[in-house]
Amino acid sequence: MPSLARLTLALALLAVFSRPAHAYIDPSTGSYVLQILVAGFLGAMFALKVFWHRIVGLFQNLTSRSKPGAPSVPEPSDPSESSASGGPTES
Amino acid sequence: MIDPASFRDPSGFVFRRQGRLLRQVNASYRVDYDALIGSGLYRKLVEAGLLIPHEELTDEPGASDSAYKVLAPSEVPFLSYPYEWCFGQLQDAALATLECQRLALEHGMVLKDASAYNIQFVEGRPLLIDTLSFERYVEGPPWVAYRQFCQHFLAPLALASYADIRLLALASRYIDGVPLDLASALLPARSRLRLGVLLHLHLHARSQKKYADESRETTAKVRARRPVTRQQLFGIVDNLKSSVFGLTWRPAGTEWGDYTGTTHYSASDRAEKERLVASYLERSGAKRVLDLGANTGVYSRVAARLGCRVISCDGDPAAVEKNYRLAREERTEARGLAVHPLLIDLTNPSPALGWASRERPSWNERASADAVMALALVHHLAIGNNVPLERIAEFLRSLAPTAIVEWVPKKDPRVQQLLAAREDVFPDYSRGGFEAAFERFFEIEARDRLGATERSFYLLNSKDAL
Repeated sequence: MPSLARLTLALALLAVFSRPAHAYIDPSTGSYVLQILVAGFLGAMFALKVFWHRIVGLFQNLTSRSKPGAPSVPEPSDPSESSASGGPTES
Repeated sequence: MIDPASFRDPSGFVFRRQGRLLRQVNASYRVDYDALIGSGLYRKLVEAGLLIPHEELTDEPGASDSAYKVLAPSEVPFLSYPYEWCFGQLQDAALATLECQRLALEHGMVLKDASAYNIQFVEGRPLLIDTLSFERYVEGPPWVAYRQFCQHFLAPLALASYADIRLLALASRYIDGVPLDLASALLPARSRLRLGVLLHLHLHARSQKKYADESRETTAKVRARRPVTRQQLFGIVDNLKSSVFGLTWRPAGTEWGDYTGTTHYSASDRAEKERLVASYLERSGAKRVLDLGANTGVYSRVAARLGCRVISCDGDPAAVEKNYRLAREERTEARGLAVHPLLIDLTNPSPALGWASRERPSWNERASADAVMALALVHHLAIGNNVPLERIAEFLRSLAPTAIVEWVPKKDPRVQQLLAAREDVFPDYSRGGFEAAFERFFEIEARDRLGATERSFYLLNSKDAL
């Protein structure tokens, strides 16, 4: 089955790395490379941020339960915070 | 007729039929368009006030054989371009673009372009007007529009914030955004201390230079070695958001709350001026108003309170910024109060730009109204820029059939200030000269003196239906 395995791998790679059909602007090689280089770091920072917001949220939920009437979810004051709290939960 | 700016993206184009603006979706974009609607992303973006709503026209034929659908987008009352926006407008447009990308990623799609020209301000809010900017997300490749976003938004914002606010004008020279090597060269060394500016501008520029001559194979190899996950794309978008949000600008030595621009009236004169302007506007019955030399938009708001839609232009970045900040507050407080601030130097308004000079029409081509207001402006043009009074009258007439003009005489301290260091070569700058010049194009319907001052106001109606 090595040929089938190779074919599966090739198809998988094709699916993963094929250029999107409608990418009509030049992404620029240097811009791609930079994103690949910083992606791990920024991804990790983002994961930490989401994690931190969850901890804070959990803590606020606990304290608001002891104080009836207090808002359970804080209003996001800056858009980067709202994106962190509203980020993907499933990934 | 196909819109002259609508040629880059093969997914579709914008055209006009019997005066109506329509958007054709090409068959090649079918699956992505269906995904936009089917994934719920379209509804989510429209509800969030981020994407222009449209209606699908089932009976309307396309403008070419390749049509899959024809859309009727809702109307954008006035088109403005990034080089006409103040700092806050460009910043809000950048944040709106990133929010579109974030929501797209949540719905299994991605923004395939991040052009600042895809954003228009409608009811004071930045709105993505290109419905065909999304495509299905495939995990692996980095964000295709990252370079464009950095060039169109991050570079000019960082330059304005760290170097000089006047560098926002670079956008009019570079139609695809400020080249990153140029931005990196112009930014001061201390800008490297901000992570976002360091990564997305300085290192980005260096990476572009390093890989400038690499082949397609190299790109494919790099991508194959280290795919970018969806979580990492969220990370990039989130960091871009913080980077954009963290950039600030304020004029030297002022706090926004204290900034009043240049007003030189006593409280009673100011109230009288507001009353006069309001009564002239009511008499004219104008619905669309152009306020030239609007400063922070005090009289634009007099017009807006009467139900007019106002384009509020000034050449001072601080005044326009203040005006926009007010407009943004009003947007949340009272919907419908429509003041659209723009950064326009009237002595040199935006030219026609882009391919064949037809992609982005000049300011003069776009600016038209029922009434034009020129309050405390004529002396700046006539003495500050040596424009003969007759040409000023002709210019105002080209913009609107009604003009509301304030006359500031030569002995006024503001005019004397303009003449302080120069010879008075303006023998015609007199009330008589002003009226004679304007009467070539307008009838004087009303003329009032402002309180005890020497300043006068004119309500002028065009002599002919041009």
